[in-house]
Amino acid sequence: MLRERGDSRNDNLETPHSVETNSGQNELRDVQLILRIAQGDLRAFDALYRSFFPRLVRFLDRFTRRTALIEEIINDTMFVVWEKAHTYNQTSKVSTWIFSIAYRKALKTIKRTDEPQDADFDLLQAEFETEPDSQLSQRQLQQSISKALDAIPIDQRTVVSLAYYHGMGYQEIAETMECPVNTVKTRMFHARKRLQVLLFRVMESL
Amino acid sequence: MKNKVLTIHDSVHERVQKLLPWFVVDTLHGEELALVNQHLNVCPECQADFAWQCKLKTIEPVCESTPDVDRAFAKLRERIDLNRSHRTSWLKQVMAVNRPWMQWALAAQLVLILGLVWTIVTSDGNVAAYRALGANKATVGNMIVVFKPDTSEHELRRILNENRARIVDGPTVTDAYLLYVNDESLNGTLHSLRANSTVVLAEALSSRGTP
Repeated sequence: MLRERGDSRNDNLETPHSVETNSGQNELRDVQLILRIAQGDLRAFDALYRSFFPRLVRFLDRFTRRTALIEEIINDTMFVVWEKAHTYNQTSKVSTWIFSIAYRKALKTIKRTDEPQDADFDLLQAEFETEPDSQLSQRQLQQSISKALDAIPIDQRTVVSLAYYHGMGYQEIAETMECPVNTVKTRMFHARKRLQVLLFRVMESL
Repeated sequence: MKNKVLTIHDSVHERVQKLLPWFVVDTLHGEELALVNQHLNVCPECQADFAWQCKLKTIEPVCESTPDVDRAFAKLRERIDLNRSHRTSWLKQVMAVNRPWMQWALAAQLVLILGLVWTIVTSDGNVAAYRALGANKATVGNMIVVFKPDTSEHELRRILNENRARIVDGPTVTDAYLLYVNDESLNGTLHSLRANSTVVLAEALSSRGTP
């Protein structure tokens, strides 16, 4: 069970050294792009936009499934990046800065559009309890996890998404969501407990 | 003693429970990383939780929305271009006007404005900040004159014009007018006014006039 920093035993895709090197190189590239964007370089903006687009789609898909709305939030976010690139002071990662803008824009847009934020936890729990015991396909597993995530509050869901699916540390998540680190840890703790209840049978089938 | 040991154990367990997700995503460092590593070796509950979280992490839900990067970026480019065009300077917008006569008119206006600014900047600082209508540059009179009460307004204007005198103030309560004439012609004006039958009194206020 012993793990050292950078030991990605569950990924098995990259060596520990390459993980850190790639992460550092990506961050350096992002900072360079931001500096060029601050000078009005549209090609640099194009590169940054395309680099962050899929990540932001994955993140925002946990807020809404409406494609047009997701494109709107991404464009609102990246417009701020374009306009405010000169204010980026490198006290946080570029990705943390962009995700924090996207998080605020998403909350604002969801509130404006009255998008339903959470599914019914109890209803979903009953549904999951009647799931067949047979082996679920990967697609079915993904759908079940997606439904379970929809049933937990948006702030808990965001922490789960940023940690498990975007690999963010608790400090980065706290900066993204503009809340204390302890709040992030507590939200994650409660989210896990809820997900464990909802996904008990589903995860057993693995 | 037993209670105390359990409390310590629980507190470590609780700390590790809160840190476990970040152990799973490999973002812990130093003391926290060591704490979780150490605790996982002895805690079956955390081991099971760790395994469960690893499964959850590997099954990321598929995105149900289908945004298109090219379409979205094209929209954003339009927005940026629109915003840029709004920011185009006023002068650029003016110069973008197609009618030549309008450009000439605007250029003439610009020259006029610059001329006025130049005049203001280069004028001496002795100019009165406020000047009443009809008053001349010199606001201090150098002569006082009293006309006969039955002198008509028309006659009064004619006499003043003939002597190139300007009213600075008056009539006062004694029906006197404070006048200004050029210092060079002060004496001549005094003589001329005193010779006029409608003038009761004409006196210089400066030392250059004849008493």
